[in-house]
Parts: sequence; C-alpha cells; structure tokens
Amino acid sequence: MVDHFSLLKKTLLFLLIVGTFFLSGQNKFTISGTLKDQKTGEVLIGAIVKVKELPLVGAASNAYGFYSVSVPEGKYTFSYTYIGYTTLDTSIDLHHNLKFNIELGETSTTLKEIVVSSEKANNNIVSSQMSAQTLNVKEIKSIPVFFGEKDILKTIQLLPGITNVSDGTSGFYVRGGGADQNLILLDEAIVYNPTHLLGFFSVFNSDAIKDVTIFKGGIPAEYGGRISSVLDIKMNDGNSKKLSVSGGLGLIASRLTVEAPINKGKGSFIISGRRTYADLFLKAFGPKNLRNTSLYFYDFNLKANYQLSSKDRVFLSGYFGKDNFTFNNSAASNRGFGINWGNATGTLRWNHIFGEKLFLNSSLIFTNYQSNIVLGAGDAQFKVTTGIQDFSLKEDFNYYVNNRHVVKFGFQSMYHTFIPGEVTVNTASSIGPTRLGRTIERKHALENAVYISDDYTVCSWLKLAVGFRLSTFTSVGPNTVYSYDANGNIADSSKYKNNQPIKTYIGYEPRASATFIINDKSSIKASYNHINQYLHLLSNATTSTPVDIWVPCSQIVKPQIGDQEAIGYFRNFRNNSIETSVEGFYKTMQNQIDYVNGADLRFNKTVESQLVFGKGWAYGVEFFIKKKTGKLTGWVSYTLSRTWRQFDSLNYGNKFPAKQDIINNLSIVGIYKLNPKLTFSATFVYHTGFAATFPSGKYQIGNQVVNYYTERNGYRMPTYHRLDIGVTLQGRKTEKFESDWNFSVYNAYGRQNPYSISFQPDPNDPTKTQAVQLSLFRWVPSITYNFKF
Amino acid sequence: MRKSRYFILLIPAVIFSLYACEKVVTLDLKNADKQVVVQGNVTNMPGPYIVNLNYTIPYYSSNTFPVITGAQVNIYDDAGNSEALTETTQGVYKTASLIGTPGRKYTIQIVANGNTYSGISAMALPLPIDSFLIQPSIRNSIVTGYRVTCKFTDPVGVGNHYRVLITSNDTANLGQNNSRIVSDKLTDGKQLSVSFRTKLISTDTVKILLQCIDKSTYDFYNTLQGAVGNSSISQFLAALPANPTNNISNKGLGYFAAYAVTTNTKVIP
Repeated sequence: MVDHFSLLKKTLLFLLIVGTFFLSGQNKFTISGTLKDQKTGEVLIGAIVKVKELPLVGAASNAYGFYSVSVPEGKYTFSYTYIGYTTLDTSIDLHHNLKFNIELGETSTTLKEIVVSSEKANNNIVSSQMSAQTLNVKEIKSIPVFFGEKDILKTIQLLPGITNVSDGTSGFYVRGGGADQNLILLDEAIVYNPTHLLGFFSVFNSDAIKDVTIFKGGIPAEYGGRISSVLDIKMNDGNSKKLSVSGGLGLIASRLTVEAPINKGKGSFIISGRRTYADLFLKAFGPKNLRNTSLYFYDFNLKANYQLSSKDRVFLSGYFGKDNFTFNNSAASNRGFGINWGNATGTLRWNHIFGEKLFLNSSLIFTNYQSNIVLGAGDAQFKVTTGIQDFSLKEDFNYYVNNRHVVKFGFQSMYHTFIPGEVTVNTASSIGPTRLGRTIERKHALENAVYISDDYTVCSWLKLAVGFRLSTFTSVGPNTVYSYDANGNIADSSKYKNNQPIKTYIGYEPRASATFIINDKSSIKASYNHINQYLHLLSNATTSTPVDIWVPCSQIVKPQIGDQEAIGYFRNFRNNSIETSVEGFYKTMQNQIDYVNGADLRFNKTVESQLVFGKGWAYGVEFFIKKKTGKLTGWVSYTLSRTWRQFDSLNYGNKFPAKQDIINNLSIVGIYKLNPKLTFSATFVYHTGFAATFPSGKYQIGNQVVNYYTERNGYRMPTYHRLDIGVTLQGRKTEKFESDWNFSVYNAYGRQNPYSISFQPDPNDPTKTQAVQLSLFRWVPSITYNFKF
Repeated sequence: MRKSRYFILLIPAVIFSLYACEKVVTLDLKNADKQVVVQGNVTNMPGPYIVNLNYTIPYYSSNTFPVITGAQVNIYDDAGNSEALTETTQGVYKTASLIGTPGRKYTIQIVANGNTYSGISAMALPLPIDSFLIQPSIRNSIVTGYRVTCKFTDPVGVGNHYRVLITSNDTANLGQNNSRIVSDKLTDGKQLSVSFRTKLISTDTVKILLQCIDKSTYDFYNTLQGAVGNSSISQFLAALPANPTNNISNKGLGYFAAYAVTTNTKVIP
C-alpha cells in the first residue's frame, strides 16, 4: 500500500513539472464557458469551437459541456458548431479572460430542408482520435429496432468492427476481443451486465441517454481496465428550462420520463423508467407449457444536477434495473428453474473550474451487479447468488494549457468485492443440504490507476495524443488462497487476514496516436494502445448468460493484456456531408482463459483449477461511409477480419477461430425523410456465421450416442442476414405537445437465423441422429407511440 | 380509437412470432476418419470381463456401429498377471481366467489395424452401502413414483470417486437419469447420499450399484455430457461441445475402467 501512495506522489510531482513546462508566458487570453441546448438546457458534449482568424486554433467541449480556448489579444470571430444545431458565430474583442456561456438552437429540419452548415464540421478528419464513434440518441431514433425499443447497444453493432453475440442480443464483441473486454460506463459507473431479458434488450433506456461514444482502438489514457473497447454512455441532465414529460407505449414495454428545472434553472433533474409486460401476455394467451414462465424487466434512471456557483456544479446519477426469468414446465413438478439479475449504479460528481484553464471533476461511484439462480420453488428453494460490487473515487483534471496542448490527468481508486457463489437453501430442498457447504468466500481487491495525456497540435498538419496510464491491482484478504496439483486437487491453502495484500500486479500502459492532416478533407491516423485488464468473465455455456461469473486476477489468474495497432485513412466528401474511412488493426491478447473439459464453473471454490490459459490475436480492415445530411442519411459499414485463439491444452495445441470470428460483416442503415411528417428507415445486416464446434462423426457408449468432435470451432453456423424496416409518422406538433407513431418489422423477410444448433437423437427414428436449428425471431412487428409535452 | 383496435390485433401476432422455431437442418459435416472406440471394464466381481471395440461412423449414418474384429486385446495387472482376450462374438472380447482384485492397477493394450491403443485404470477398494432407501413420492395424496436413495461413507482422504447406478426390471418407469457420478473433492470423509427420482411402481425390483471408480473413469463420465445431444432449451446453459476426457492413448475414444462394485437389491413394497 505504501508503495502505491509514494508512486502516486511521484506521478503528481511529474504532472506539476510537465504543467510548468507548458506555461509559456505570452500575452494570451482565454475564453471559456459551457455550451448548452437552447431549448432544454442540456449540455452539449463534443461541440466544436473554432476561431475564424486562426485556423489552427480550436477546441471541443468536454463531457460537461465545458470549453476553453486561448488566443493572443485581439478581435476574433468565434464559431460554435454542433451537429444538428445551427452554428453560432460571434465576434469578440478579447482583452482579458472571458467567461462566455453559449446556447445553441437545434437546426429546424421541419420546413427548410437541410441547411448545410457553412462551418466545416470535419472533426473526424482533424481530431487526434481514431477508431471511435459517437452516436447521439436523437440521431439514431428512427432506426428500426427490435420490438420498437431504441437500443444503443444494438445500434453500435451496426458499426464496423463490432458484432453481436447471437441473434437479437445486446452483448457485443469489438475487433475480435471477448465480451468481457468492453468497458461499459454509465455516467462513469461500470455496468457489468448490460443486458435485459437473456440479452435481448440492453439495460440502457434511450430516453434517459444523451449520447454514446465507443472507442475501438487508440483508447485514451483516461480509460483503463478493459482491453478491447470503451463504451462511454452519458445520461441526460434533465430539462433546465421547463417541466417536460415524455414517454412511449410499446408492445413489449412502456416508458415514462419526467424532467424539470430545479430552482429556476440553477439545476435540473430527470427520472425515467420502463417495464416490460410480455409475461402478462404469455400468461393469458401463451402456449400451455409457457404459461408458468415469467419474464420481465424494469429499470429506472435518475439524474439531478445543480449549479452551486459559476465555478461549481454537482451531479447525482443513478440506475437501478432488475430482470426476472422463471421457466417452470409445470408448477406441480417442483422443478422450477429461474434466474434473476440486476445492476445498480450511483455516481456523485462535482465539477469545479479553477480559473479559465483548469477543469476538475471528482466522482464517487458505486456499482453493484448481482444474479441469482433459483432451483425449485417455495419451501424447496435452493438459491445461488453471484455478483460484484465496486466503490470508487476518481479525480479527472482537464488542463487547457494553451491552444496547442490539452492535458488530461487524474487518478482512480476502486475497491472490488466479488461474490463467486453464495448458497441459500430452504428447508425442504433435496439438492440443497449437500451443497450448502459450497458457499464460496467473497474476494476483495483494490484497483488503482494514475494517468496523464496530452493532446498536442504540433503544426498545421500534425496532431499527437500521447498518454500514459499506470495501473495496479492488489487482491486483498480476507481470503483463503489455494494452490493446486497437476490433477486440479488442492495442494495447499493459506489464509489471509483483513486487507492483507495477497498479490499485486502493475501495468505500464502507454497510449499514443498521431494524425497527419493532408488537407481539410483528408487525413491519415495511426494509434497504439497497451492495456491491462484485471478481471475475467467466466462463462462455459454456449451462449452468454446472466450467471456468468466475474473473477479477479490472483496468483493463478494473470491479467489480460491487450496491445493494438491501428492505422486509418479518413476522407470527407461534399462539404463534409459524407464521411468515409478505412481502418486496419492488429490486436494481441495475452492471458486469455478457457476451461478444462467438463469444467464446473458455478459455485466452485476451486474454480481456478478449472481454467487453462492461452493467447489470442485478431486483425482486420474496416470500411465506413456515412451520409450525415440530406433527405437520405445513414451509413454502410463492412469489416473483413479474423480472430484466433491458441491454448496448449485445447485443440491439440493448434490455433482455432474464436466463436466471434466473423469474417465478413456488412451493415447498411438508411433513413429517408420523405417529408417533415414521414420518415422511412431500413437496416440490413449480413455476416458470416459464428464459428462452432460440430461433430464429424459419432459413436456409442452404453446405449448413448456420443458425438465425435475432431476440431474446435472448425465449422460455421449458417450465414446470418436480416432486414428490418420502419416507418415513423409524426403526429401533430405544437409548442406544447408532440407525438409520433413508430411501426417496424424486425427480420422483415423472416429469415430463420440460427440461434443454436443441437445434435440429438431423431425422435421419429431412434436409429438416426439429427441436427436441429433453433431460430428465435422471424417477422417481429412492433408499434410504438411516443409523446412529449 | 381505431388505432387502439389495431394495437390489440397486433398482440397475438407478436406472441406468434415470439415462438422459437425449431427445424431439422442438414449440415455439410465432415466425415472424420474412423476412430477406434473402446468400452472395457474390469471389476471385483467374477469374470468374464468384456471389452467392446467399435468404429466411429459419420454423423448422418444410421446408428449401426461397425465392430472391430481380429484385434489383439491384452489386459495386465501390476501383480504380474495378464491375459489375452478371446473374441467370442465379432467385436466382443472376453477374459477367461482373470480375477479382478481391488487395489491393483490394470492396463489394457489393443492392437487393431496396426495401431496400438492402451489405457490404465486402478481398481479402488469396494465400499459398503450404509443404507438403501425407497420412499414414495407423494403429491396431492397420490403416489407418483418412488425415490431411491443410496447412502455410503466416504473414507478419509481426498481422491475417491463413485458412480451410482440403479437398474430395474421395469425399465420403462426407471427414467433416463439412472446413473450419477460423485467426487469427494469437497465432501471428504462424509456420508454421501445419492437419490434418484423414478416413476417405478409397487412390486418392481430395483437394484443399486455403488461403483468405486478411479479419477480417469470419473473424468470420462463427467465430461461425457458435453458430447451427448442436448435439447435446445438446455443449450442456454449447456457446456461447450468437446470430446470426453478419457484414458485411451493414441486419440482412441471410449474408456477402460477398473472398479469395485457393491450392490443391493430390493422389491418395492
């Protein structure tokens, strides 16, 4: 522990020295402030501030809408741009530091079609960030979606380099990485299981979300802990101008959101909730064997913020969601099987602005994820709880040194508690008593990181972003640590006391990217990142399930280490209304885990003896074309990639494709605004089937037919393709009330895409075996009514 | 209000499309080279002990598994005894004189079509059955079947493995799940209890077999499930498909098991 603190001190000292180095004393003044939406008072994230007279100078607003630009004394035209909003030009004679808060109005798309902004919106070309995409919830709202539920996790799967886990699900893989390698943040709190209803919906209620940024590569130093991607989701702050109620009625779920100002716009809050009701329909009309099945979820989002002074603003955000799924063929058989799970997160933040150049955000974050497997019912119930709980403290500084350097630095300290499996048994359970002794001790760990990064404009054609993150992970007592012999039996065990360090890992994580600006329409970017990940998700099922267990690094389990190099060419056409890019990447992943054959991962205190370790690598090329304005908007993305794994003890030591090795992946999204009232949209997805292990023969043991496998993931599921279509009909729109109807059909031509394939005896002919494909969703129509007043 | 009527009409449509749809598909599966499958047992009961040798077949073939004839099969123990087995029926090899003895280690060696396969299994000591219980399962005051329980006490020291089976003259009502494997990894030295739910009826005979197996046999049965066909719904939680872990060398399939067995038979009152 002492070591960490001294390390922290040294780093802070280093930051100070670097900071002083940048302070070159010229006669410069700073204009800074907050950018907001004129109508709702929501802050605008990533809005661009440019100085017409100084083409090199510019800034983007940060996650709290704060911007800061330093220029020599003089008279300038400052131009404020944000996509979908009218650009604001303002002339300012700057003789002293100036606080200038801006409100931008949404571009009216109702009558005058498409005002092509005179200002260049070519941030995708000139920024130092590559392999990243920001989706604004407003921008994606007309994309046809599964059951009419806008779902950001499904929308990002339409971007290059990102694929889903299986049909209709929200889980995702980025550039060949694992599903556990995505850092999913909701207002800075980690969300460990982002899915509802066995993965078919995401936990993120779009009504409460402002925007989403996914980083697939070139991950900035301020993020760490997951090696494949960062999905940074920001909640709406709530309308600070007036009380507003919005909601939606859908076939599967209904939503309601209330937002209002606090103390005359000094603050605001938003509360948003939704609940599904499919189970009610199933009970009433469903087939008999499903009537005892219950499946539902609900969730709430809450956020409030308050401006304490012109320099201080506090935010409180929270999320709570719960899922329940019970499958019970007949209540009388007492063989009920159920899973329920839920996330809860809370973030308390305090923004403070020191002068014009230094912005600080302090956060206290709590996150809790728990899942329960329930077997039996009533008295005979047997329950296993697994989960993870975090408390963390985070300090993030943004230092706008001058118009060439933006330095970000800070630290994060997180305390994890892991619940690998806690058993509770009711009296009459037959399976319970023998397993009661299998409750597994909780595990604890401390994860710390300090980072610094500099976004450096070297000259008119070169931008660099260099960063360094130092991360540490220490597992601490109380815990009993086992070591194992070759057979996986416990060889030795040692007990650790409260907070006694067990094992520490240190990660030195350099991050770098460079942008070579060819002209204002094109650039070449390259990036490298090295990231350590101290958690692994254990899942030995064919599909991802909510009972998958997060395990921390230990003496046996080593951190996942990811290295990625990426290079890309970016080119805009037609006055920046069409963005195109080609990116290539190569990624390696060390210390990947898999399982010994027949591994028992659930409620097993010696689970570490069931793991095998290997490596992975992935490479590919991504093509992306996006049309941002006009009657027709949308994008086409195509990815050609491979992802491999190699384990000494699996597949005879030969490399094999990972399940998510989707070679060809094409997505097309089109939104056509026929007139202000009517919008048509369509999505088409086509990709190679997942890699799968199928038998290449069979044999008999006793009277059981056994499949004979010759190689791991040597086969492919059938090709996946699907077309979704949607129509949005705008109802009457007044100052006080607006509404729309959304009709959509998921899988419009009824393609039977495989969810799974099982190999089983032919029920009609016991001398034969057959392959049976399970497909889940064909022609899922939906209708949603949305309103706002 | 017309809109709300459409809304209601759409509900059954949604439920219809919610149905998971299963269909039999014909996949282009490779036909792997035929591989040797061994099923061999040596027990503490009087012989003959039987070794079956078969070949694998393509997945879409009818379930007739070709036998391997003309193989040389030998079983050795670690006390210097050995015997060459005789092929009594095609593909079925039997011992004549070998006496299985608990505590000894057995080795099988098979030469078939010029390839040699071998396997080692140690015969554990037999264990008495403490109790054998047959209890009626009653629901709404009707006997719906019987629950068969076997209790035995694990000796102190980790590393004991068991396979408990039940057999009956009434195979139809015995049900599918009539064998279970148990390891003492987490319950060393305790009394263990294994129960089976059956739909057996009064006057049926039920026999319980407590096999003390070695780790390789335990691993084989423990991993067998990953290679046996699963119904689709259980795939939500099914293990990844893989060949069972076994003790036959040279990529041979199947198992060679030496085990000691204790039995008890009862007639359901």
